[in-house]
Amino acid sequence: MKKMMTVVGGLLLISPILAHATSHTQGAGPRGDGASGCGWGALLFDGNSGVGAHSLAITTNGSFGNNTFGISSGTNGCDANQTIRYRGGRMYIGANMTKLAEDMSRGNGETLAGLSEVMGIAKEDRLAFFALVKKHFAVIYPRESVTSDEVMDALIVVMKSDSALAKYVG
Amino acid sequence: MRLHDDPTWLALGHYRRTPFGDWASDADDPAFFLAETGQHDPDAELSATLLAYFAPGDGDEHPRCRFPARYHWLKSRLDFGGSLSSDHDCKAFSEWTETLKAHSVSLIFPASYLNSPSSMFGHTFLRLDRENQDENARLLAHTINYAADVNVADNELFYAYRGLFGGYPGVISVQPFYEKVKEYSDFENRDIWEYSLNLSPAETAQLIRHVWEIRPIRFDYYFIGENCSYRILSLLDVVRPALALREKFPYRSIPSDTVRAIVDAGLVEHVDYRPSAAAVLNEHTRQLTSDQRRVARQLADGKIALDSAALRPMSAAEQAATLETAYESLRYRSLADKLPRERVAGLSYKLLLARSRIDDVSPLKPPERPATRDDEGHKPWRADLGFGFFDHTAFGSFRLRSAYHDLTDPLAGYRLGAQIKFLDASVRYYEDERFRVEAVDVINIASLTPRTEFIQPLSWSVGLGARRKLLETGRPLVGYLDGGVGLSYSIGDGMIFGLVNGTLEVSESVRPNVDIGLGPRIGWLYRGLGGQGLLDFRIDCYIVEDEYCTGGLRLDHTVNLGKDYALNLRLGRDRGERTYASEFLLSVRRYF
Repeated sequence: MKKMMTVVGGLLLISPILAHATSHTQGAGPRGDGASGCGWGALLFDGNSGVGAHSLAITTNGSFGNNTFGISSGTNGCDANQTIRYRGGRMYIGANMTKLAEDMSRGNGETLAGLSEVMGIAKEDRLAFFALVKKHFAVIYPRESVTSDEVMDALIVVMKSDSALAKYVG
Repeated sequence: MRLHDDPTWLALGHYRRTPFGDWASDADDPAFFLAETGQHDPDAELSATLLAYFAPGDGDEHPRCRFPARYHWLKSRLDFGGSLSSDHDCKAFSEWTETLKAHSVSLIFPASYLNSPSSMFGHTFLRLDRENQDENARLLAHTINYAADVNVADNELFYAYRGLFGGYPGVISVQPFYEKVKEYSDFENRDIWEYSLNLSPAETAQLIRHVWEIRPIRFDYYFIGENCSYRILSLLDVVRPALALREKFPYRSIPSDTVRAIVDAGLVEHVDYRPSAAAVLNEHTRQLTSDQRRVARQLADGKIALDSAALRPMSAAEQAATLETAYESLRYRSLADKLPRERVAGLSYKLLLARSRIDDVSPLKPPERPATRDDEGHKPWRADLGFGFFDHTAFGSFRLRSAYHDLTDPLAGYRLGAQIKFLDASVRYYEDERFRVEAVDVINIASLTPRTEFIQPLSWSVGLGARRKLLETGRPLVGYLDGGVGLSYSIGDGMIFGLVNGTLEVSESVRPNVDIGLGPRIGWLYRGLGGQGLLDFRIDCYIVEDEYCTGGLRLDHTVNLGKDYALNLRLGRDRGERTYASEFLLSVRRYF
């Protein structure tokens, strides 16, 4: 009995932790979409392997180095400052490839609205922007293996051909 | 009051009174202190800080730039003669704040996970909102997240040990909110509550200064005490020292409890709800007709083509809704089952392409915000006082539980079928003057998630503790480890479940000392009659030495009496080894 109580006692101490801990092991699971915004050339529908693996490093590795934002640089070409400054949408698209594709196919959604924010599209032009990307979905996302850089380039081409929206990609 | 006793100074240094009456800072890093004895001496630290501020030199490494929050506060309290610098003389720091553009702060609380009761504890972090931030621009805001820097190579036991005893450093990371939304909404299927706080721009700026101070500092991370939520309270204490939020959580800070404290402190302006991907999928499938659901399912499984005749009778809007749901379902499955990209990418893309070709807007509506937030449910501690009869012997009963939620506790703010109990003990005093420990549950988790056409999780349960076992000769206390796995289905607003259960029992007083039981367990979780309840039937057949089966039928019904009280009725009929017993127990429950 005594021995059992010791075991029970030990588990008693540990079990809540195991459970609670799960909320902090972020990154152990899949991430995808150029995890943590560092995926140049991020793939559509990625998320179950590959890119996701390094995001734990990003969540937990940083902060002790010299990075302004506590995100390790040098991980997959990920530069801490770029995640923050978005570089006119390129970074944002890389980090949101899949959700953006979903929103564009519908012509609305929060991730798409976020892109219009990043690209500095004025409120009055947003509906036109949403309609344009939906109409040209097949051009912007021409195939399942498209990368985020290609999406950005195609988006610029599509916007340039539109009289109202060309000014945002001049 | 002397300056070094000021609550703001104590909050800035993360000082807490120890049980011996002296001060100790939570910071576990000499780099945080300018005085040699700074960790235990707020007075010496204050003097050293002032001295350091007036030391010659400048630049990012100067104490003025390393500790801008202390500097700002001291400047407001003392007359620095206007000669000294402001934030702008610190290049790295001012660049950092310039990029963050924080104007106000939101507390973000990802709630529990559909199929993971352990996530019930939740997590909290801060989002830095910009001035006049558009509703649509929230995703772009930055978040400040505090988490344990775990070593992924550690095995679970070691991990638990280090987590409990502070073996991991806590780390502050700054990430765009869209990364956190992906993490919680899409990958973990957790709804998110967003509480915008009423911190002024000046308070927000001071909070940011303080984050800058502690960003490179090591604070040991304790999963129960000094965790993510505790650290957030300590940040809020810096800007609103009068709230003394940290003091409310000396030993354990369950995230939902800390959210409750922040709400009670009047810090919350308004609350937004962000449903998880699974919640969206469930709601969308609910809005489809059964025909549309079937087609969506077949599309997601790749069983019918996208130009299938099945889609043709539908209107354009209905087609849009069906295609959207099919995509959401496939996406959910590929993340939940970790399907390789090659298997899902082709079909996912085709579904999106087909959707983009329909001009109509789909009529699907997002899930409604739940009536009760996750921080508005009952509190985690529970005490029960009751009386009853066991086999015609009357007894009085007292039961105490440390956390968190039981299948029959008031449901508001919790998920039906999700149970997690830590340290739940009950004692009884029988009329023949016997005092008995009835049961001690160390941990007991049940995750009963109903299966739908689109979401098909397994249900499971685990339990560890000690309980009474009904034998012909008496009811000895035996240690047990239970595990079960099976399926659940919704019926009405409740659910039914069936599990296959395995039990390991250990006892010194019963022969054999170690026994193994196997058997089914079926149950019905219902809502109604003023609350909710569970009707439960189980059989365990023991296989070591004597082979025999035990069984039990139990009704456990709770009537909810407001937020903090409930009335519970338990009726049971047990079959033990060559014996039967009946039980009746009526108790009052208080949550606190």
